[in-house]
Amino acid sequence: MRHIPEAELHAYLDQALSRAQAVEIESHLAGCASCRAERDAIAGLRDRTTALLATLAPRAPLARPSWSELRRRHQVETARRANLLRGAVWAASLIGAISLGYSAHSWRDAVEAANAPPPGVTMPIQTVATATPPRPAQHAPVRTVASRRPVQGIEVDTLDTAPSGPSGGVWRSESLERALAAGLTVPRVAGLPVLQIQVQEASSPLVAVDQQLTSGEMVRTIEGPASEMVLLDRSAVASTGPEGAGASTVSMRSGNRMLLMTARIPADSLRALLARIKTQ
Amino acid sequence: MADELEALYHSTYTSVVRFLYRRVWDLDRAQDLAQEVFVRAMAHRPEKPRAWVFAVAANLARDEARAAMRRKKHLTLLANDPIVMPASEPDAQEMVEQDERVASVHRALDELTPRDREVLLLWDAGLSYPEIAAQTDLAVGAVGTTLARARKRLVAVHERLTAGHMDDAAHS
Repeated sequence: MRHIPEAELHAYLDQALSRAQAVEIESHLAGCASCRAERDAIAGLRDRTTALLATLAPRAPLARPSWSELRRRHQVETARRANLLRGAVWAASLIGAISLGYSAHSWRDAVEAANAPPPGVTMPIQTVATATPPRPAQHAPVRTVASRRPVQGIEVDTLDTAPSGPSGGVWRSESLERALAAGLTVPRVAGLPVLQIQVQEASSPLVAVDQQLTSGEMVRTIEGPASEMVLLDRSAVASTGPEGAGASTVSMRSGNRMLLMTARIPADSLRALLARIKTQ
Repeated sequence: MADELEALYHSTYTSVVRFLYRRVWDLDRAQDLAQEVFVRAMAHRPEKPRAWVFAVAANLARDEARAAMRRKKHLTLLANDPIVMPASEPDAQEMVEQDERVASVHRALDELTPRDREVLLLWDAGLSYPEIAAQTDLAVGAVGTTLARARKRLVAVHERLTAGHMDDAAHS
């Protein structure tokens, strides 16, 4: 009579055999003392292995985050991957907010601004607003240059060291192409030259875009999670000139997203620009 | 689907950590990796979540071991670590003995071939023969053979190590 192979006894004790196979083995065991002894030895070996491995259990108590905590992590990662999609959703909500949230006056400004002058005609954005008198020319010496190309000598502050505190990440510069390729939301006014783009990694990225108006003034647009934006250092927001003198800032929120624009132009003009923002 | 994963998380998180711990020997790291496994599971929505979770855990452990090897930090045996023993600790002697026991099992496990070790640890983590077979590319029939070899070797090496240790103790 053939004895039961060792591996089969392991499988039998591990309850890895079919019922038919198990019955076959049991009937053999009933009449074979040698196989019973082998079975007992393997059962002992099995128990010993389990006991030895049990000593390797971590002794410190386990930290087990709640399932909702893991879900949140999963959502953050999914959100990162779905940046493009989120940008589209944001743009849609922005358009909704603008059409609902601003006065007819702002809206008219927006229409005027959208009907921007053709290249070659000087039309500083300041003239759109009537509330604030035009500022002296020396504050914006390039205003008369009627060009859509970036004006040489314009001040562009980099944000490298500006923000600090809890959100104190490092800003890095990106080209428009690379930022878009990376799926970032790049908030910008259509038709204005982009001077630079800076990105800060936070829970989701903050993106700051500097653009030049036909007047030569620089307008900075920052988009990011509201929780991070409110922590931004003032100098990161209003660095369009010495201490951001004369700068207007407008901002809007949509859920946890926040969009902020700043420039040394009247607030009404800025709002008009906000209406022309593109996030894609 | 989500409920199934959540139930799996509650029932197997400890097993997954233990499985990973025996591969990476760092509890914090093992927990990080275990959580990573479940986060990935949420995105991946595997058909057979339990087998999938252990397969991914094994892959992460393998990557981790390779990285550790590169850092030349791998296989730092517990026995070689200085044991900090507070003088006032009443259980100090017991702790030393516990550490030595762990070190010898750890070393015995390291002497198995990678495949034997993986099969043994997967079995110990609660996977069935078919699940182990699917994960290791073994035939289901070969799982028993592999487990038989791994168990014998683990116990034999461990006995050799602890016998040697007792001899050392007698000579000192």
